[in-house]
Amino acid sequence: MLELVSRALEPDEEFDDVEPVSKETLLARIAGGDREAFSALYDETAPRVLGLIRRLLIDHAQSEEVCQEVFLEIWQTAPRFDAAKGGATTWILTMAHRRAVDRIRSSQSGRDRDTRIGIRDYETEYDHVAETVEVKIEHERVKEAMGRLTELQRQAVTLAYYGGYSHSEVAKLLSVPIGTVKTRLRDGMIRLRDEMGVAS
Amino acid sequence: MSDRDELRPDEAALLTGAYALNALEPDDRTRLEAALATSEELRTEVTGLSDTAVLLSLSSRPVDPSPQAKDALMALLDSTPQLSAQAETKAEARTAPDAAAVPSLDAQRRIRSLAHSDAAPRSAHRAEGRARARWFSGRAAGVVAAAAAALVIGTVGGIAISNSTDRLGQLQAADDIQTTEQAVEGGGTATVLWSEELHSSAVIVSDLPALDADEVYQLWYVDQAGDAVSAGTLDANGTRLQLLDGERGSDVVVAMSVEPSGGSEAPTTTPIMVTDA
Repeated sequence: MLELVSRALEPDEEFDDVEPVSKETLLARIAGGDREAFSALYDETAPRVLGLIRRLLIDHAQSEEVCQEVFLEIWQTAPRFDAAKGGATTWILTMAHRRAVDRIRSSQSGRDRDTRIGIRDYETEYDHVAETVEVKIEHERVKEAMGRLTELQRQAVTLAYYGGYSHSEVAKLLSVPIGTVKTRLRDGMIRLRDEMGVAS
Repeated sequence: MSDRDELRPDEAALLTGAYALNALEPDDRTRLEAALATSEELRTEVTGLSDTAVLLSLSSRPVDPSPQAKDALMALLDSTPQLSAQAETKAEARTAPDAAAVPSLDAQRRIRSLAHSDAAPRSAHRAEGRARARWFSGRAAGVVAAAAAALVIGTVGGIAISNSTDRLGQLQAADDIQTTEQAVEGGGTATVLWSEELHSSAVIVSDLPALDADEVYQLWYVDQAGDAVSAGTLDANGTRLQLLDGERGSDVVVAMSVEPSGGSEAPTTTPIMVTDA
């Protein structure tokens, strides 16, 4: 076991490829059981995955657990990744978000979140976002698109995505009927999609 | 609304935003996924909105995982078999019967004789063609790897990290380590690892069906007399590795049942998994 681990971390093998390899290519290799590809994909995406999970779960230890589970799932299900259906980043982060939400809804700590988080303000979440140019750009892009939503759409989308609340929980938090929440989430997401130029 | 209902196209269309945000509750999610299988238009919209949701995630601050997390993960790969490329379609996979069905506990009265290993239920849903990944093929290597992961996974049920790590580490090193894989009634698998010498057990569960909010999976040590002692509750999302609470006595089996949230003093439902004696 240790041999395998240290082998995966062997610098020569790790940095052999000068050409950046796409995540889709890495996933294809992982599907064939390639540990080095898995290691590379992990290095490239784990901070994103953990960042997203932590945003939802807040608790760091739990977030690391869920992050582990997501990567195990990536390893297990890589053979079923179909690049024709969407990019690797989408696949991975969608899985991460879903697992974080699953954890919130299943765990006791999840149920205590309301008191810890409440309705979190969208903007304050970004106070700490400064590390990289890439993150800044993404942040600006999201912020701008979010700015085009109605206040009600923005609240609903924020609670659902960053808060991990279900649509009926969002309805309760915002004191509106469930049907209204569904409509707001859909209209809000369609607006965001169009604002951010996502091809559909 | 019963979960048997099919969504009308206009109802389904309303749910795409919530779906992309993972904000649907299980019933609605299952029904929308059924609708997705039959509507290209709906699939296109969901794809676009899901991609949009991912952009939202990209604006979150990246967080570096601990170096131990990666080591543990890499060590786990050996015992984590990969699925075959031959897959159900996405919609089918997510709405597979055993993923949606909560075990019908009333139907399981027959499993009373805990001492009989044959009583371990086999789920009818484990049909051919859906052959599940197996965690262990009887190799000790898998056990070692699984225990290594305890550095980061395995703290559910109030076990202190250091404690569970120590004990899992010891379990890993035990000369008399044994494992058994069991199907879980209602779907999923449970692999139990144990050492008689150390009076200690751990369990790895995979693909257990989601429970209602007021229910929880609970583990038990059951002695020959049929008396059960709680070994902790289990958060069953995805793949979990967990050390069992308490000491493993001699001549016990490990069982799992569905209990009211918070767990029970003694099993209140028929076990959905029992290890070989």
